[in-house]
Amino acid sequence: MSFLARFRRIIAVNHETQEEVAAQPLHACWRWAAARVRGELHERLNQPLQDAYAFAHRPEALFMAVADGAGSTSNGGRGAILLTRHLRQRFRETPAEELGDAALRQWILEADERMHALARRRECAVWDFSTTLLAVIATDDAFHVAQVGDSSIAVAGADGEWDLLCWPKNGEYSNVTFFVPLRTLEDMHLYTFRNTQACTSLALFTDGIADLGVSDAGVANGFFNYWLAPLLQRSQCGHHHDISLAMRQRLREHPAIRERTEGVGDDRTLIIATRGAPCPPATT
Amino acid sequence: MTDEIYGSDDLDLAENPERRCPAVLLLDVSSSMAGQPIEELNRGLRIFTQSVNDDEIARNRVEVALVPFSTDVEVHDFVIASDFRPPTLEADGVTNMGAAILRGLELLEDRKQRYKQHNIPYYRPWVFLITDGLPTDDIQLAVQRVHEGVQNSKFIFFAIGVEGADMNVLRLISPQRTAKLKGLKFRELFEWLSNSLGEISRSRPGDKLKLPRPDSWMDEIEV
Repeated sequence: MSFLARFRRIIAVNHETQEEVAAQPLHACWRWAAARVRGELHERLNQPLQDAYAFAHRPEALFMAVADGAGSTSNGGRGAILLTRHLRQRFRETPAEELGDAALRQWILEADERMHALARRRECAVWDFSTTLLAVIATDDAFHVAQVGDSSIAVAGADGEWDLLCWPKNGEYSNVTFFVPLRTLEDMHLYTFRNTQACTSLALFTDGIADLGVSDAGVANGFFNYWLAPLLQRSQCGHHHDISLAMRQRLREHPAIRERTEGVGDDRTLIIATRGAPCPPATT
Repeated sequence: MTDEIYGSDDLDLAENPERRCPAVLLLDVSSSMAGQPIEELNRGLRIFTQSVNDDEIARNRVEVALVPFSTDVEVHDFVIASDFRPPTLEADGVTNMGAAILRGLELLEDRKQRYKQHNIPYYRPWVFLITDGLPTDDIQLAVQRVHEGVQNSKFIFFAIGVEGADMNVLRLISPQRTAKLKGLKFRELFEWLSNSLGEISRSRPGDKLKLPRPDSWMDEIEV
């Protein structure tokens, strides 16, 4: 089933069960973990990690972002950090009623301008800071998404079926994508998904993860549910640092991942979050 | 700690289709190529096949179409490098270069449509014209199509002149990328082509392409 078909079903379900939705706690209890690892080739050549991520939480919303600095640049990693941190900072200081896709657009343009200013100071080309971006503001009933390039986001309901919210954005050719600083405003895609209460889990990821968990046929449920499972065992809201560390180790060392990523340069970054009901502890 | 959190469950990975890296070789097999040139061209093709197959990634991503042309324009449609078996070409006839270029670009457009239909990601195609002579047919439309295609980033077009080629005509066809082959160094040319396609076939968005230097086969380059 396509995402849109599924999404229509989600909306319909919510309309039918409004009482149930209203009976939920005022704000969702998000639990999340995040990790980034260098691509095997970058590690071997001792090249820096050029992916970055950031997250922040307020009672009424969760912010998450991943970014992939362009491998052809020397400062793509710096661009990725600058962009994700700028967005996080702006998320923290923006009034709740202003959080949405217009705010994301504004913050990205500010970061774009900061990159131009930095390039002027350093007397380098602004494209040297090129980075992709996927950012989301998840409120209780909406997801506001900003996408530039081939980083992407998937969502799942309680049934563990994953769908892409938006496909990675590539040019016609496999080795072409889009970046901040923006060459044109059309390279920035903004989406708002409403009535998302039934979407209980989110995964944000860069292209190194997409190669492992997404094909043209869609999202590999088993792949994302693997990373989600430990979070579903937890009831405490917030960032689970121990899961992030374990995720990092597995992203680096899992034999199936190592086999697939040998000789590949792409860094791998994944943030996974859920507000689903914690599963009861496993019994033997 | 990692085992406590994730256990040792199997991790399912998505099956991804291989990206495709298409290349069209437009090969002049007119009578002026008879003798050593055609022998060296055939040898170069065999070396290309071997070399691209030695590269584990390239052999599953590079796709090759051959368009040998003389009086007739022959077509060997796209085939994945691991299945590519080079024909033994024979030299005879005149140089219908314009028709060959148009046929090659048609093949390429058809291939792209197939990629799109099957959601197969692909790289920007390369078109390689190798000739030692003057076109004997009208090349005006072919020149126009090459210029449009290059300008719209539809493909990258290389025009390689072998000894005796009219370089002015090649420059007219491909002002950006024209080169003259050193002697009969087809072997070096095809090794370079194989290595270059290998580099492209493993490139990712944002990567800086590091193509091998063409000094071993290139006598002069016109930029």
